[in-house]
Amino acid sequence: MPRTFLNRAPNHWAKNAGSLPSDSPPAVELASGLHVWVQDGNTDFLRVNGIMPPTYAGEDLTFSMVWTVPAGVSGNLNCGGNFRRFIAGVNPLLPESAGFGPGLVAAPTPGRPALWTVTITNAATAPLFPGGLGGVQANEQFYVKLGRSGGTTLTGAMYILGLEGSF
Amino acid sequence: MGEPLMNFLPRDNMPTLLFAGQTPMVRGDRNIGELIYAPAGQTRYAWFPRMWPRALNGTGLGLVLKCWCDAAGDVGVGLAIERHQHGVTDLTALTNFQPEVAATLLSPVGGFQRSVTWSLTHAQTGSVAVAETFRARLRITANAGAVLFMGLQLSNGT
Repeated sequence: MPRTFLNRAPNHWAKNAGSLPSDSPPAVELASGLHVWVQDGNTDFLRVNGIMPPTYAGEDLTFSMVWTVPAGVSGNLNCGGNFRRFIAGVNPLLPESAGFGPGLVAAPTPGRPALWTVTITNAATAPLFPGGLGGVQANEQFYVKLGRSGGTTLTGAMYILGLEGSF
Repeated sequence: MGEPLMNFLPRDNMPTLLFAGQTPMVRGDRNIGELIYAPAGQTRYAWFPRMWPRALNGTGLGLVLKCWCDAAGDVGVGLAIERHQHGVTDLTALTNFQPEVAATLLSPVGGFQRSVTWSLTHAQTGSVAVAETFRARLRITANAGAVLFMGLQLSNGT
């Protein structure tokens, strides 16, 4: 059975806008009261930090993102991601992994949620680990960064409603 | 088995007034960190959005609410789930909460923490599926004293 190790909603940061990391998109509130992360271009990212659970034993990781678009927005999304492993006591830090993503997906009907999912293997190819997680281990810190990659043709902003990581 | 999957804490609350007659809980701090509460004699709501974990099998949902109560007498609490179905739900016009499941927080003695447990069926969640987003809506109807919300735990099974 899959195990969840990361589960975030936009409201986690909505009240702390002053301390947002520079590459985290802002959270805003829809008229319906829902908070969303707004990525309004190809240069900002959603970055979330976490610590791998003690039960992690090198499994592949699956990241699931729920997203939609505002009214009037159409096109394709090429959502790309990077993973960064932090090894305790190791300096300098490992760089981010090469980008990963499942390729172009069409935007959903505006306002309707859609699922984006990618599974990444934990192949270690230090210092760069294209397509992998760098051999991340239990109890290590990490971050995962998601954003738009080349080929995206969205005509406006995209809304992110939630992010889950599981293995 | 009730394996814990996620916790909802006071700061996770989305303090938005969505529907007529549903007033958000009050934000405060009593030297135990950020908290939200229902003032004495009032009914207040809190909303917690999140993704439905892949580990949830859909056969049952256990929820444990922890409160810190100054109230005298029993306290009324209620929980409702709103499902956001992929490709179907219109997120710009949300009124999809399932009927509330009520419970009672039994006679807290002033200053003591109390808990209440729900066991929701899958149908009572709107049959929410894994990797969908959802919102949990919590109601606290305070009695003769404030009711401080401490946390809500979601677990797999009942």
